[in-house]
Amino acid sequence: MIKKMTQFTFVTLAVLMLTGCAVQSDEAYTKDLFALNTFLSLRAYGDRAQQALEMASNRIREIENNMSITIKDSDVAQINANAGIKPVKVQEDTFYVIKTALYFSELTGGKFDITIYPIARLWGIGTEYARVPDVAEIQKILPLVNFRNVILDEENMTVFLTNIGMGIDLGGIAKGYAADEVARIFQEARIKHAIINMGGSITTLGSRPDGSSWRIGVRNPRVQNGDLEYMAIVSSKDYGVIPQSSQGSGVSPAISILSAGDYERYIADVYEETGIRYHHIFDPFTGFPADTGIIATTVISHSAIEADALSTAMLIMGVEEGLLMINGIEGIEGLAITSDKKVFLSEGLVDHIEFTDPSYSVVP
Amino acid sequence: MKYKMTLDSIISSLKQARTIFKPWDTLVYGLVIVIMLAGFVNIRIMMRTGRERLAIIEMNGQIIDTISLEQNMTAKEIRIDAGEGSYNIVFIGYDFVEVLESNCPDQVCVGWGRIRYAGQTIVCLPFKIVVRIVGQTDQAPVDDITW
Repeated sequence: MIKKMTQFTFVTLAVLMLTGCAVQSDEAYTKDLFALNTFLSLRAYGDRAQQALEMASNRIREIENNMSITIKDSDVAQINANAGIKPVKVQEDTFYVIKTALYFSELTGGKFDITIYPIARLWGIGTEYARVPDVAEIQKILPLVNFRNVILDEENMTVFLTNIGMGIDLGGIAKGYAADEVARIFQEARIKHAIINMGGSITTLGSRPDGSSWRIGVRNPRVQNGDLEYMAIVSSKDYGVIPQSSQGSGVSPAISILSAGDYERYIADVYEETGIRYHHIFDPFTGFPADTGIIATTVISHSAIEADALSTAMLIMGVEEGLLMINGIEGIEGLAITSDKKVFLSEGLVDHIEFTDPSYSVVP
Repeated sequence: MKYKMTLDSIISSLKQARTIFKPWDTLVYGLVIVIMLAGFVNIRIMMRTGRERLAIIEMNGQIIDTISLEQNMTAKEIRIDAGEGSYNIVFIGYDFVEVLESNCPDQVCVGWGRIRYAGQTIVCLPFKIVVRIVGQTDQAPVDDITW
């Protein structure tokens, strides 16, 4: 009897030791890819991570094929090609992203506007054809920018731009949508810990494997030789309400931290000559790069698509209007950095940000 | 009835098997121990090879250069030819890496600053060049950077 018991114990122990490692593994798996016009780096932990990463990268490719402006037969390219001609039937996800974009246009009084594309194309910032156009050229094109001329037909899943020459670019929001989709795929695979970087747009799932909060650096918008590349650190934690979808379900909540800034893409040679920074975030009301004194913004939200749209909008709205908006929406936080290196914080962020660069001063 | 017969025969053959295989028990236990030890040694080996601090340069997702970052190394510049006159110049110090120069249109890589912790990258998007640090370094003070 005793012998049997020792046998049983030995075998049980052996099995546990052999498999235990795999059952509770927190091993990290990563997947890097060039997509959505940027560099994406996905990292997820645990046994199911590898399969989830495959699914996520396939989903990203799908989103890219539907929404990239440079892919000829994408929904977006088709919508633009048929501007002023006819409505275009699109995929469900493209429809959802455009509908969401129009919602944020309404919310921001038109400061966030996907119909900015004809202006963006005129300037060509980030391409080798970048130039400063004449005011007359801008004035001629500006009337084409108006989100109210995007007509959605929910029943037939069509999108129609009412005027010839109009165009939309989902570049300011599709990355956020893709991050939300990756987070959803990870949550459905019951991944507990993950960190997603989509060209500087960060989405975290749950905590670090050791249980502590993820720490995300906020890019120093004016990095000088030898400076740290970030000027502050925020924790990826719940700043407000946890969405109902993840309440009590055992699903790790996703938190997205997205930024916009005049430092990402601008006309470098003009800047060196004149000191004027013509960057890639345009004010739909002037047709010029946003010039509100804000040089960078960061927004934290459970929804990456929301953080994507609002970080861009804030840069165009300016400090006062931008912070008023952020403080008025429950569950989101944000900050704005101005050209004189002042940092303005939303109410909930004040106690949860750590400044690492003393050349920035916090405005209470 | 038929099923009971099959069941009976299975049970009897199992009983037989038990008596036959009894001498083999020790061997099975021995094998379990050997497998466990092998797994352990394997992990140790993997840990050692993952330890060396390296700068890895990739282009189009392919590794094109691997540079060991040693305490006593001489700093050097590496020129990466991305075709059609496109190039990046990467500076390799013993505990950091930075992109010094590039003729890419957006200059994001040049303005990025220095990387020194495992997991950090500098990306030159137009030329699809990625410079990354791997191996054993101090833990980076931040998990990632939003920009």
